[in-house]
Amino acid sequence: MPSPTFSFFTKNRINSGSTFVMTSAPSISTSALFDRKRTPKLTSVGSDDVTDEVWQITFTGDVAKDISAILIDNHNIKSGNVKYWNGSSYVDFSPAISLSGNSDETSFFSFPQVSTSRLQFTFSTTFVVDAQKYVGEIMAFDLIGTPSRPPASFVISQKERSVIHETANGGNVYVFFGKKSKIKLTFSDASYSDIDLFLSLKELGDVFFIYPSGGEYEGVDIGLRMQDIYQVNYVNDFSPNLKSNILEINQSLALELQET
Amino acid sequence: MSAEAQIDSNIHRPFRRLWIKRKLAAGDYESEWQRVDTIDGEDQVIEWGIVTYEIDSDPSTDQSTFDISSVTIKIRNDTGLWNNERSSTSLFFPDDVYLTRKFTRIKIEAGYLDSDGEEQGGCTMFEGLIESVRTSEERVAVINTMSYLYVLKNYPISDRSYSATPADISTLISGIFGLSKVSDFIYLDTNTPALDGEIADPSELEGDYWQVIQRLAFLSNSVPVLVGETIGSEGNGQSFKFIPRTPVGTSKRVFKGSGTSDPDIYTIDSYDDEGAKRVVLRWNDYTSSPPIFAQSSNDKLREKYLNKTSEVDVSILSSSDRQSLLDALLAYWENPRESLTFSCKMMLNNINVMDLINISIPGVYPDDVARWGYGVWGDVVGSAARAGLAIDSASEFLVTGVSSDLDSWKTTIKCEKV
Repeated sequence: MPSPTFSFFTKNRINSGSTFVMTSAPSISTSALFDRKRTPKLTSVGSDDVTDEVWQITFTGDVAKDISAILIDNHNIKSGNVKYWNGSSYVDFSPAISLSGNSDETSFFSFPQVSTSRLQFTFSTTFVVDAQKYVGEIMAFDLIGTPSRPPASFVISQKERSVIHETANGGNVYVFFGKKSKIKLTFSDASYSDIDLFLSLKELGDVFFIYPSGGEYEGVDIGLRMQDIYQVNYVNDFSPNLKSNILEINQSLALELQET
Repeated sequence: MSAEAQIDSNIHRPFRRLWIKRKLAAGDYESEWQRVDTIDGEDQVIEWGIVTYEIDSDPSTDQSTFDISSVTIKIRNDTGLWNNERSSTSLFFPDDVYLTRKFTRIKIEAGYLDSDGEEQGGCTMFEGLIESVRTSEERVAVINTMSYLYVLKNYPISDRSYSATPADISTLISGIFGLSKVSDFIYLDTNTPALDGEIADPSELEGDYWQVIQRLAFLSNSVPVLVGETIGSEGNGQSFKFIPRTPVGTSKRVFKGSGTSDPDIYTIDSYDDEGAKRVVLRWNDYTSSPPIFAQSSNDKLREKYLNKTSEVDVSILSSSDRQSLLDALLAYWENPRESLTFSCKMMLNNINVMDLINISIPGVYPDDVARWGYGVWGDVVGSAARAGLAIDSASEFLVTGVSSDLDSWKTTIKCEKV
C-alpha cells in the first residue's frame, strides 16, 4: 500500500476566469467546482445514463498552463473520461484518464506534465442508474514537488468561526460559519532538495495546495483521506536548522500552513 | 429538513454569498451575476454588515415612511480586485469594457445548510447598488451600498410633467413604476392603497419620486414597502408593495421568549407596554375651508392623552376624499399600541415588514424569592401574571422592522400590537 507523500501543487487552473460549456449543468453554478467547498455541487439537469454530460472548461484567457494532476471530488460518476486540448482537438492524457465501474467519490489522476488551455470532462454513467451527474470540486494543477521523506510530525487543527447566542431561558444557539485548517509539518531529516522545495514554496508568491495523501494513499484519518486537500499560505519563518552544525547531514525545518 | 426546521434548530450552519453585476461600457449590465465572496477558493468577505427594512423609519413624519438601510461590506483587497477600473488587477478592468465600480448591482444571498449539507431557505437578503468603494493600505476594501430606493430618489417628479387633471393615487403609483428606468430595478408587485383617493391636481406634487410615493402613501393611509424577494430565476430587482397598513393573512410565527420551553428570542431590546408615544386623537386638516377634522369619541383616551392633535395638509386630495382619510387615520392611530423590539434567531426572509406574528413570553419568577400573595397551600401560581414582561401567545403583532445581522447571524424585529 502506498504511503502518504505530502505533495505540493500549484493553484487550481480552473477558476473564476475560466469559461464553461456544459451539456445541461447550469452555468450560474459553475463556481461550485472551484470554491474549495466539497458540498456545493454542479449538477446536470435532465441527464441519464445514455446521455453523456460533457463539460468543456477553458482556462482564463484561453492561455495554456502546465498541469500534471487532476482531482475530481465529491462526485457520483461511475464511468467517464477526461481529455485535454492539444491546440486543435481534445486528446487523451498519457496514460488516458478514464473511469469505469468506479465507486469512489474522490478520483485523483497524475500524469506527465502537459501544457493546455482547455479540459473536457465526459461523464457517462452514475453510481445509481440514471441519477443526475454531480461534482463538488475539480482541481487541475501542476506538481510543485514532493519531499523525499515524510515529515516527522503532522499536526492538523481546525480553527472555526462560530457564534453562541444565549436564548431568553439561558440556553444557547450555536452558529457555525465554517472552519479552516492549520497544518504544522515538522521535517527532522530534510534533504537539500527538500529544503529547496520548501524555499520555493516560501518564495512562490502565491497560495498552493498541500495534499497529504498525495492521491495514492487512502487513509481514514482526517488529513490523510483522499478528499483532504488544502489550499494554504506558508505563514511561518523559513528557518532550516543544520543538525549539530555539521553540513554533511540533513536539516530540520517546520512548516506552518494555514488554509486560505 | 426545511428552512423552518433549520431556524427552529439550536445549531445553525449559515451560508452567505455575495454577487455583483458590473455595468458595461455601453451602459447596460452584464447578463450573469458574478460571485465574489469566494474567488478561486479563497474567502473574500471580512464583514457582511446588517440589512434593515423598516416602516415608520422617519421619526419626524411618523407615518407612512419606509427605508432600507445601506449595507457596508468589508472585503479583502490584497490582490487589488476592488481597485478602480484603471488598475489591471481590478474586477472592473479594463475600463473600455466596464464603466466603473459605482452603480454596480450587488446582492447578498443567505440561507441555512441542513445536516446533510443541503441548502435550505436560500434567499436574497439585500439587493442594491454600489455607492462607493474605499480601498486602504490595510489591503481591505469597504464597499458602501445603497438600496434601489436610490433610483426613486434620483429623479424629480417634475419630469413626469403631470397635468392638472385629477388622478387616482393607484394610477400615479403604477405610472411611476411603469417607467423602465424604475422597473429595471424595482418591480411593482402590489398596488392596493387602503383609500384610493383622487389627487386633485397632480402637477402640484413636489420632490423626487420617493418623496412623492411616501406622500401618496400617507394620503391613502397606506405604506410603501420594498421587500427582498427575487423576481424570476435571474433574481433581478426587488418587489415593491403599496399596501394598507394592515397585516395580510395569518400569523407567520409564534416567537417564544422567557418562560417557554425552547425560546427563539434572545433578548428584548425595548418594550413599550403602553404604546402612548404615537397616539393621535384628533386629526385637523388646517387647509380646508371650513377646516375639517376627525376626533376620537373615546373620552377616556382623550383625557388620558390630552386629546393629542396632529395638524395635516391634505389639500392636494379631492375634497370628497379628505374626510375619509382623516377618519381612517384616526381609526388606526387613536389606539395606543404596545410595541417591542427583540432579537432572535436568524429568520432570513421568512419574516418581512407588514407580516403578522404572535409573541409568547410567559415570563418566570426567580426561584429564590417570595411571591406576594402566594403563601397558602393550593394557590395556583401559574394562573397569575408572572413577570414584569409577560405577553400572551394569543397577542398578535404587526412587524414594522426587520434587521438581519449577517455577521452574528441574528435578526432583530420591531413590532406593534394589532
